[in-house]
Amino acid sequence: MTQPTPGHWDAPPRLPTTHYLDNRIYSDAAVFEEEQKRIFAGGWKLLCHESELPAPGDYRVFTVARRSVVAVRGEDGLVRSFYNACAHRGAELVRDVRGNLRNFRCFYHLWAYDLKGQNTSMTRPQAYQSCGLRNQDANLRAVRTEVLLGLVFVSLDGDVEPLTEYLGEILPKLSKHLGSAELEVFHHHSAVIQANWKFWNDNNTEVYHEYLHVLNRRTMVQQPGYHDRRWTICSKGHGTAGEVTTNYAVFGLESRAENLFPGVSPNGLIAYGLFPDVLLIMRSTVMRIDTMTPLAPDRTLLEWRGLGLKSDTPEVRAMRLRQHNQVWGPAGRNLAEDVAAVESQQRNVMSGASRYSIIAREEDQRPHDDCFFRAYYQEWGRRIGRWAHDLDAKREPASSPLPPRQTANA
Amino acid sequence: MPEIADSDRIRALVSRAARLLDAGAYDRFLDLFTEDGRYCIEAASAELGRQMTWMDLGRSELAALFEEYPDHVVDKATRLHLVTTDEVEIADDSGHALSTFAVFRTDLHGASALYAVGHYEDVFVRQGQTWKLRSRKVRLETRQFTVPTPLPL
Repeated sequence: MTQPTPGHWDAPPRLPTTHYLDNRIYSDAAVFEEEQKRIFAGGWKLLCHESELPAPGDYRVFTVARRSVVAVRGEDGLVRSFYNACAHRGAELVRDVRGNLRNFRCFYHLWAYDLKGQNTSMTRPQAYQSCGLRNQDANLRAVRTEVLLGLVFVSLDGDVEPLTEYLGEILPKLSKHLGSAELEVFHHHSAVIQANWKFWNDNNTEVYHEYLHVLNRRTMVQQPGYHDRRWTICSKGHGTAGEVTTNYAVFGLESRAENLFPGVSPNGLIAYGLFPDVLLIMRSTVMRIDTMTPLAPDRTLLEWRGLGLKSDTPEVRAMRLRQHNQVWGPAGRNLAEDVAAVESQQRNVMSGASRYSIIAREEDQRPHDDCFFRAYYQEWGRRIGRWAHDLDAKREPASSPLPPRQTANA
Repeated sequence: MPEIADSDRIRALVSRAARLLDAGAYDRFLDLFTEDGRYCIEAASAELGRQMTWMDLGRSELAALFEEYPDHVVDKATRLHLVTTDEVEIADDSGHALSTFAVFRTDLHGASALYAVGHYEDVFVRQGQTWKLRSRKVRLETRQFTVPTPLPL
């Protein structure tokens, strides 16, 4: 056996360039900035589920590529999004995370806008007559918004491809779960983790890490048939590993064979990764959706949502909540372990102790194959114009940076 | 006066519960509950505009959680509760208490930081000469945790 030497990891691993990562992708400040520009500002970002904006006037505030964005349901039932900035001099229109309003009124100089973002009032407007400033010249700055299968997406790039094209061939797979019944978010919690957003996304989408979780080891990995499914890798960085059956009884937990989520088998678990940051996963009776807001190369705001059916009786909802909390709740079994793992990785990446990540598993696209991992970073690299295995190598980005914009009227 | 003594016993029970959790003495923490005792953690969600239930377990479920806990990847930091019992009400063989708590977490390097704050809403029942917890509802003010935990707070 070859003994480890200090210089062993000074050179990249002796693997194909698709089979390892330059760990500076998790710590480099320039990479972080490029991701903000080309991925989070330049692509589609999942904000929330439409059930979080049930009534006209309901609004939620989010951060997208460091910009404050407010999503609001209009009187016509449509969800629209705007930069949370008064057209006058940029004060925040809303200063809490959610609420309901009949119109937006800036607290600073009391300019007002309707729920379509149209300026309806400029305080003492006569002083603008001489320069010809009109209400329609001072509308809110709209953000491209599409709602598909109940999921509210936005893009800061007005020229981004339609959402249906972006999701592509994963869309019919998602429709099985999201398109047949009205869903409702019943749980939300968040955390700021000391780790790069991609570490959390990697953790969500590489199935090999199920060895981390004692619950997953006993109820899934050690069960017959676990390795029988195959990854389906879709274009643009999306994918799914297929459904697996979970034996909750070995862990003393109740079976999940009734009140199933649409498209999921009894005791089934199925997950979807949507580029860049979305995990959509179901454990038989409940859906969880993860989204991320990168705050810094080594800090990320994570949001977790639990969903049930809008038609749930109180008893069924209580069952979904209980089963959600057993595994995915803030006091559940698995999330604390995931956080421990990714924060541990981040410490070693920031210090330089870990220089490369090996993503070289090849198992005929079975669950522990790193094929989706590799496909994801091919897409990542294409979008930001970098090679994930070597940040110093030259590469042209697939899309141009978000162009500077004049103040836009809706 | 018996009522004052009962009040003191309830305050002492609340304090003991905190010390037992800090010490990791989970079996003895469970012994503070009745057989049908219930433990619940709630926190508000500003995003959804309502209370979330984070945990709602009976005594046997809590016991199972404590038993499996060492098998998980666990936070090795220690915790210290500071608890003040603000109100105690006693009526015959039942009691209620409202307490305020803060939990401080000390990491492996010895650095301490505030971890969680909230209130306990406790219901007690007299069993013979002792009081037992029939239910504890933890109403968290803290909604974002630096290090998540499946353990009671």
